[in-house]
Amino acid sequence: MSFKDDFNLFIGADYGIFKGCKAFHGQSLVKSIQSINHLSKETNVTAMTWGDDKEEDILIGLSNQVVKTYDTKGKAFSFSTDAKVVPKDGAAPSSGSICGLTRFDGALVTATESGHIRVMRYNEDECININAGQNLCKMRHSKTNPNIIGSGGLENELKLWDLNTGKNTFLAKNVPNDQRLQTRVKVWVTDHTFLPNSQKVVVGSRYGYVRLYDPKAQRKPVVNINVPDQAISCIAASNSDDSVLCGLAKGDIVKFDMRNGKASAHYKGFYGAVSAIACHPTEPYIASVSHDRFLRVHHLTTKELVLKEFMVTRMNCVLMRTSFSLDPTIKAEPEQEKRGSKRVASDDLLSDGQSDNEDQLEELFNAMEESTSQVPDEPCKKSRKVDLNTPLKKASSQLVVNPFSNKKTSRPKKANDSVKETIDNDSDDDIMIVSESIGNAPAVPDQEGDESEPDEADGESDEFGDDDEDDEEENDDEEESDDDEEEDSDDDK
Amino acid sequence: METGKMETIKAAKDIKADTDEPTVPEINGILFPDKKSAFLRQIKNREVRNKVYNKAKRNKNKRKKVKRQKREERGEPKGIPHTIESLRIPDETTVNITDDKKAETEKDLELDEFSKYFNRDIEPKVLITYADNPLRKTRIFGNELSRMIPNSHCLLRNRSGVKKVVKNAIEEGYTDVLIVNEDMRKPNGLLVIHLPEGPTAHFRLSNVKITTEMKRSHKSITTHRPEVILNNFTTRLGLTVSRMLASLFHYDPEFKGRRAVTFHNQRDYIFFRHHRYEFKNEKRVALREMGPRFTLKLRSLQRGTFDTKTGDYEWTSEGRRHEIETSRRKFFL
Repeated sequence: MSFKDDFNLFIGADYGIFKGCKAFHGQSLVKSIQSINHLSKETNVTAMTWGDDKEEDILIGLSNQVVKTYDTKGKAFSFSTDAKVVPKDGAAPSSGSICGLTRFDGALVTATESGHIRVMRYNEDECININAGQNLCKMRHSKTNPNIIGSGGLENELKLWDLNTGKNTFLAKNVPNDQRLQTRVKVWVTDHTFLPNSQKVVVGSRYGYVRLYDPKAQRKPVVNINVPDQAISCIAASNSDDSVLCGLAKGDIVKFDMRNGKASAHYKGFYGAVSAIACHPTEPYIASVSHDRFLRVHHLTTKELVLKEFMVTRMNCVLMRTSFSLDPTIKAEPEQEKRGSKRVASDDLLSDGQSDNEDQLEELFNAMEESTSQVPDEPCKKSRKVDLNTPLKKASSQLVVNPFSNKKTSRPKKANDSVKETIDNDSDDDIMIVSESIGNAPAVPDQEGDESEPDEADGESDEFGDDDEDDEEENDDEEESDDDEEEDSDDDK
Repeated sequence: METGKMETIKAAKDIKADTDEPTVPEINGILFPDKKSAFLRQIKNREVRNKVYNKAKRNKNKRKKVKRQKREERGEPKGIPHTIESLRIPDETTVNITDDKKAETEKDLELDEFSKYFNRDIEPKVLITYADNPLRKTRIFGNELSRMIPNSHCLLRNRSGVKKVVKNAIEEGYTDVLIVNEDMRKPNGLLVIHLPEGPTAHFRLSNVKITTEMKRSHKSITTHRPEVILNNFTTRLGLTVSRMLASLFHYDPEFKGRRAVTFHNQRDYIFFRHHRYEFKNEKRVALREMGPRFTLKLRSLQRGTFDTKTGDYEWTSEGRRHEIETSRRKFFL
């Protein structure tokens, strides 16, 4: 089954809006799958996930605790279930919106904000109910260990659960008290993600920290990065093994390298809070949706904004197909050139060959509604990752991370601040900051991105140069008049 | 020295030939006015340079005049003047009546936080308060706002936090909270919180003129509910802001009072004016400005009620003004 000509991004938004999007370079086709007549205030899409590895169906969790299933093959909503949990022992029923969804062993797993996690099976007796604590913000499923899920929320530390037994396998511990004030550090696990091919979990918080937990090593965080004055609204693992993408509540995405606790990239162009990020497992693209009603696709390594699309409503969730690639066939400009030229992709849309593309897009758009089962399978493209051999700088054990300062500095060991990285018991863990392992490891080059910036600036100055020069003209005139006056005064003397 | 002067004059002559030719660069299909020639800058002697420049300018104006006269002879209509507004960089979020996204936008408006007000399910009740220890002008300004907005109450904050104010205001059945901030004895910020579920807008407040400063008297302002005019809000963000400002006032104005308050958006600055109108005859309307007057500029719009540290922003310019303000012709409202 190939989805080459089908939607490659799915978006869940407020009021139950569910959209499919086929992204190209600088433009995209967006289609609303859910009819707008059935929207209501109570049915915000709050969680979305693939039903299986083949990406044939999508589970959509709504804020009124209903789970819908969308079949991407049949292009229809196949069924919907009420995920409300009413315990038999008379305890409080589940309330709030669905904050996590997954499928485990054929059973639907739902989590609600009130902390009820439920593995739903046909047989009532086989259902497993887990109480994960109040104010749950997110429940996520590990890909490497399919029987492990994680949960966390406001004053609700990260917990890992075994879905077979319904028992808690890991409970995170908070960092030590604030050194100056001797007060407890507040906890808010807004989002967490499992790093690919490992058991480690990275947690992001609205209180401005990113923490890495290793359930094998210790209950306290192995790496703690403080991001002062920024709330982290969502987090996603990037396709390189040990960096995560953090979406901020004031906009922008920051990529943190968890080996040295530094911000290694900064993706810009946002006006509002990032609500969800989807990173492709192999291709260097990240899709993000934000409350400013835009869908954006950034290039992972060049940090370029490849696609920006206005989506009318505020969005909460985004899903990306593994077959996602920005199809170069529709674009006159080849891929190589795109990376070389630093123009913003949306400008390309206006420039050349738009009418030709429109026809092609129209055809594709019509084709999309039909079943795509006849399209022959195609092997997945090789990853376009850049080979990166620049070694990382030697890391120190105490770090202050401020991704918004120009200089990403690591503070000397002596400094004891409230903002610090805690590495307690140095074990033989590979993610611990050991300079040997870092020296050899490939890293994301900062220079590439830095080089790109001046080019961009040039482009802008070209585009808007006329205004400036007009100003200059005026200024020149003034200068001239001033000079004349000076001359007069000279004459007087 | 002499030879140097000769050279410059010679150069100037070359330039003269250059500048006589109309050079109007075209960018994105828009004709931009003549740029100052690069050659002109090369002339070091100021007198010569001015001479050449002025002559070129005169010639240009002449050409323009001839062109205009010819056009008038042919009876063609006037072109649209190139202003910052008319050359505005098109915004993709512009709410267009003939758009394929129209139905979805309408649905969005039908379900958003202000829908209750526009369906006339609720009547606005507004609480106006200040930063701590407001001084004279700010206090008077708050009072005048409460005179503007029907069913509003002006109270001192007594050092309670904004979140606490919001919580209590929801309990008391208020639909909006306005907080006027003060700096250097002048009001400089306005926070508008829509209750009970947001959004929260933060405006920079400037050029505040209270009624006395405009040599008017508050006694001439009647208590009739005013008409609200919202002008020039074109983008999706602008629409949200305008709906927010509209929902401060009562839905049904009392036309008998002939009061009108205007929020006019121009280049992202929102100008507030308050008038009383009078129909002199079928064609003429007399306006009398009543005061106060002020200017707002949006700093941030946030989802939910006031929570600057951990809340989600829908739009904010904080920390990215260099990124956002790339052009003088780019506007957001």
